[in-house]
Amino acid sequence: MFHISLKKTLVCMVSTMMLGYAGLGSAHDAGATMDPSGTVAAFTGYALVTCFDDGNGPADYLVASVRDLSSPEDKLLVNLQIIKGNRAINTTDPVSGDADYSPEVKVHGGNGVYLLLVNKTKAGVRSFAVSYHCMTASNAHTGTDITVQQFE
Amino acid sequence: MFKLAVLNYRTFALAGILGLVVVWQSAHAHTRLKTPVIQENAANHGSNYNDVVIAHGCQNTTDGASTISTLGTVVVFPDGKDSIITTGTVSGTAHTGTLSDFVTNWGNPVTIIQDGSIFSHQEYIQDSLGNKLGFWSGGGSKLKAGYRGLIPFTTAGVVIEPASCAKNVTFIVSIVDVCEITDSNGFSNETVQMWTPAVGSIYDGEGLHGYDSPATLTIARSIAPLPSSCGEGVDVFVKPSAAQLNRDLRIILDGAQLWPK
Repeated sequence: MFHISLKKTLVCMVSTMMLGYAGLGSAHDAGATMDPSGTVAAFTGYALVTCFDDGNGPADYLVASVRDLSSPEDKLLVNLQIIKGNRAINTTDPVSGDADYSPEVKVHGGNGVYLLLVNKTKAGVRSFAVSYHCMTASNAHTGTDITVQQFE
Repeated sequence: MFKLAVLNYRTFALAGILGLVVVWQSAHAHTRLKTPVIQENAANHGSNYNDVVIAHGCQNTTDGASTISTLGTVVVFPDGKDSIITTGTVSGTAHTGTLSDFVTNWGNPVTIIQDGSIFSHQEYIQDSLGNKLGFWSGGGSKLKAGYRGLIPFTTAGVVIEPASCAKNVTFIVSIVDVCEITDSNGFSNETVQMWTPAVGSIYDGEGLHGYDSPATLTIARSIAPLPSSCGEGVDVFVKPSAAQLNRDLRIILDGAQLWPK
């Protein structure tokens, strides 16, 4: 049973990548498709990003940005928010479908757990990519983990 | 002459002791994590590099010795959603709240370390959101009976809720070493070694070797000090639900379930 062909292995690898793409993945650049039915204005992706010292030093802040990969649609834009403790911030990708991310935003919360939200301004399918990185005070990349809590 | 005799006696005695130790270890070694206790949030250490240690193969029916090689292993952590939470001991007081009362960021604990030194295939076990709750590794060459196997992976940093009284949080890790592909009715000491908690799943394995003897990963509180009102603090234990094990503890390849049949 375990004599699995190379072909099957490769098919499986692709399947796994697709599965990972269905939600926010665990790399520091991840993406997915919000509101695939195009009817849920309140669709929200909610993840916990944990910043920790991976040897490069303790985290000082989380920086993130979002890129709307779908074609432009009137009044339909993708937003990203970071929340930790008593600090929060928002960014919006102002041009859908181009090569640019939204402006980067940061919350200086040190090590620990940050809330990361992705949502949009009205109903409609939106494919998007998120870039998120925990950084030290000297702007070195440090430990970054993600857990997806909600995608609906 | 006398010295030689003493030496021989000591040598034999030592050999006997060593022999007993080997037999004892062989009889008692279970599949476990190589590093069963880690610090909270991996502070200063990066990701927590770990291994599943497969201690022995399956048992033949002739003399019960572990002479049957292992085809693969399946590893699942509690998802923290419908998990069974207790305090004090693993069978202690049931906690009626949620895991977030004790842990702030549980949900995506596993990253595979690519390694084909024993088994040729590695795949994640994920929830519907893509969170990685475990993995399986199998195929290729078998892990020969009588040898031990290290299956590498890492766990994500865990943050204990600062306001909680948790001094340690222990996640009960469910592992099945598969020696023969069967359906759940075919589970026996010849076909599987199940290191799972007895929570009423199809993987309980009552009466089998390793019954209700799962592996564990303990997170020791190391960031926020215990609130003074907590006294010595409490130990927290997190087991997967039967529903989670029945759903997640499987080998699926290319959309097809390979194990159990």
